[in-house]
Amino acid sequence: MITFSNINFQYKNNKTDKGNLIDINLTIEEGELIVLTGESGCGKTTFTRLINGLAPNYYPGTVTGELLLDGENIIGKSVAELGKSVGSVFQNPRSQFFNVDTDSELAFAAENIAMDPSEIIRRMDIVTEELDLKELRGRSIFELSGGEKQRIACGSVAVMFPKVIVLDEPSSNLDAESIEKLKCVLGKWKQQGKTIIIAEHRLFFLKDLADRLIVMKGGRIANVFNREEMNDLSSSLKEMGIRPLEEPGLCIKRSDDGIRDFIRINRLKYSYDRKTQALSVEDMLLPGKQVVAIVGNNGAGKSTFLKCMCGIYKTKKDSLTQNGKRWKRKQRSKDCYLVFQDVNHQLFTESVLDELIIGMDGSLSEEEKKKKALEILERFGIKNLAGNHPMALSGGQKQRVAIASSVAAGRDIILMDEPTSGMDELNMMRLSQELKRLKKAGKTVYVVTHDYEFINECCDSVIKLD
Amino acid sequence: MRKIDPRTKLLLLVVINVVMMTGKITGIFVPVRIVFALIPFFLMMRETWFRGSFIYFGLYLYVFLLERFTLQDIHPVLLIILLFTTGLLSRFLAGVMMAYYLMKTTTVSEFVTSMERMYVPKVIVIPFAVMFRFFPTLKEEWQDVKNAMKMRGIGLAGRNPLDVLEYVMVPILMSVSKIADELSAASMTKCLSVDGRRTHIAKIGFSFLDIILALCSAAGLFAHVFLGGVIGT
Amino acid sequence: MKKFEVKDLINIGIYTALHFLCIFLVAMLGFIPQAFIFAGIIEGFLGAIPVMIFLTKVKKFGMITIMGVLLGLITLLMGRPWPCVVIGLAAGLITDLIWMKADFSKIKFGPVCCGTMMLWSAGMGLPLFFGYRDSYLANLEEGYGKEYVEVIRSLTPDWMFIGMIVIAVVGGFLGGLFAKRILRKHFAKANLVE
Repeated sequence: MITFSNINFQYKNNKTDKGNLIDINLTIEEGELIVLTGESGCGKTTFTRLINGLAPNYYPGTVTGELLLDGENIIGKSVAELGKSVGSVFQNPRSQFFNVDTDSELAFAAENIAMDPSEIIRRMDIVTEELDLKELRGRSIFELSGGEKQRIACGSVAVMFPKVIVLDEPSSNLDAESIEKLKCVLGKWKQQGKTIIIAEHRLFFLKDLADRLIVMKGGRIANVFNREEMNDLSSSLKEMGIRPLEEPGLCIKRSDDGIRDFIRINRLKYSYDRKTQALSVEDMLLPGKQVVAIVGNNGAGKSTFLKCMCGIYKTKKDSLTQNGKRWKRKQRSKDCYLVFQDVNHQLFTESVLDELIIGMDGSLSEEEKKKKALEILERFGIKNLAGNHPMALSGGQKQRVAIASSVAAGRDIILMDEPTSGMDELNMMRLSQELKRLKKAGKTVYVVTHDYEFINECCDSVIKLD
Repeated sequence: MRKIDPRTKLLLLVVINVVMMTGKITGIFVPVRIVFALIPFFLMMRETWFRGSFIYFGLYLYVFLLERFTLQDIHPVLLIILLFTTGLLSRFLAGVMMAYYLMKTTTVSEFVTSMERMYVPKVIVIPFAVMFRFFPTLKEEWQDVKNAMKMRGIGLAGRNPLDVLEYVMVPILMSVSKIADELSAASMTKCLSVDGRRTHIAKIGFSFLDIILALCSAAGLFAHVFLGGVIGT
Repeated sequence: MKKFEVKDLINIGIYTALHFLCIFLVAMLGFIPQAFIFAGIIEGFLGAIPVMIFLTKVKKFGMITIMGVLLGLITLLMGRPWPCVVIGLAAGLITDLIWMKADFSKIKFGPVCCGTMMLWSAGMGLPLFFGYRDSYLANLEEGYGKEYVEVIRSLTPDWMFIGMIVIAVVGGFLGGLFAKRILRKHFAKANLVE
């Protein structure tokens, strides 16, 4: 049982007078599965950090109040000490592994508390069986997909047989199939009577599992819904800025916007090594001057497709046409702009304004460039950020800057890779508006996504990649 | 197939580098060099990396023989230019391949185990293990940044090299510092601590092959030291 | 002395990896004897950038010394004579002392620290000097002919060892200045450092 009584928390680097968690009072029963949700910055991640001890031990700050885990106050207990009973799964698969191979990672935590090696191996086998990790054992972390990494992360936590497990946006980098697998894992854990606290934006996969849904706002608990109440929620969630509890079906309004046969792909193939074909597209028609969703199963090569299309990957013997004219790789890289899933890598200047200016047509004078850049920023509603450092922005803002810079660079085709992963309702809606505006301005947007709500919101057609 | 002990691999790496980087290239050292170039070849074959091992060894033999037998008595300037390519490869290649083999076939946990068996203190072991883990991550980071530059059409040509350096380094550094933070947090929740005792499931230990390889290394070092090498003279 | 935490050790590992990689890539160029002065500067320059970021994470004495030891150990793995580990340790220790004098925070000492950190690279060039040099050159002579060796010999008298160190340190210092600018321009502006 976990009891929050009058918990207040404020990060040390938070210079405002508003706390990050305010007046939290909550009792979580043993075996409960609690879903925390709310807009970005509402405090749900901080909530999980208090339970695993990262706040205030690792992320310093001041706490008042009491947080009891089975009757014992855990505020001030070290993270490593808490790690024996609380398991943590994080968002970013690239940075949560200490090891380079899956087996070592599964054993890692148990080794750290000096558990007997034969016991570790016994537990690893149990967990492998329970979480169906057999095919992932003995592999290099670097060759796993995001979903597979997340399963190993769950497995490595499970080996400790923790009573409590906290997960911080575990689905943000996962596709539909992997989310389904994650759901299975959570189900197993729930069956075993573990207490699970999960901070998430996307809720549909948690609907059948959640015992309580907690909506947070500005560091406070705004609403608590139990199972029955959750069922009547669907309509009011949107107003609260929360993603729906049901995964919506695909329903897009057929629009006559754009051009039917804008790009024709006769042949586009790519392989990372000699053995496996990562992408093979033959004869595909892509509409233009509209927002097109590209969907497909795990491993269909959606991200690879985007990278080939915009010319980052060298594809040999490709044959594409745009408006009936041959469309070579060189030209593609001039026409297309890919917004990465992890947008951080594509922003590298010192201000938002510079970010736009750097990619602009070289024939313009500095003055003209600046003027044009400010115009574009105005259009995107981020003119007030012109002087800010891109890395100081929120995820949604960074994405907007990246799109704005592609517009500034005069690219007509914008490609996006899973832009709504880890996004709350508000930012998702904002992005949809953005894309609709781009379409109006005569741009073409191809977006790889599995977010049906997002597709329904702004896409004009859907292409399935097999 | 029995795994080779990480300590043996480390020893081999040192000796290969000693022989290749600072040793002679004449007399008895011609066969000695070839033997030490063959060691990574043999180890890679054992891992069934056939293609890579043949390319490596073929390339090595080519540059070494070129260096050894054809480049003498030509104009020093030309020699130096040629040496830049052949010499660079003949010196670094075997060591680089050995290091690659070491990283690819040793898990972090085996590595940590063997370091602890050698009584290396934890304050050295943990950072070393992190380094070990981090090289492949850096490669991924670099690829991402390279792709981003390519996509934004920001080429290297015609720009101030310091600007280019900034464009490349800033995203990498930002991302690295984020990874460092998150990795620390994740490791702490997995009970990693600086002073606690650990156990290991990694099975390491010396087999017959380890002994042979160790003897090879000893022989190599012996030749190096007593037949006119560098160390110890 | 304050106790190290997991975070400190992970930071050491990560920034040492980045620093070493920067230097290793340039060091390949340094094989051309005439270019090695040039290469020394670039090595120091590039290598200084991660060091500077690392410094902002160092709040305890000893972290930089460990970095030096690690670099020395890597040099040893690259086949250099064992004193390279001592050199690495010394380089780290000196830098640690300076950075401690700067209260682990005065960034204007940063470039100096970046410079002194580069002292470890002396271990890399060790085979070219002192007792090692004559036998090394004698070996080369058999292989490459007298003329090539003469070029190297003329470029690497023992005092050049000092010269090489100075070059690397200057490179480190200059890189440190550049890195300081990056720090101010990007990291401080993005609120990533204090």
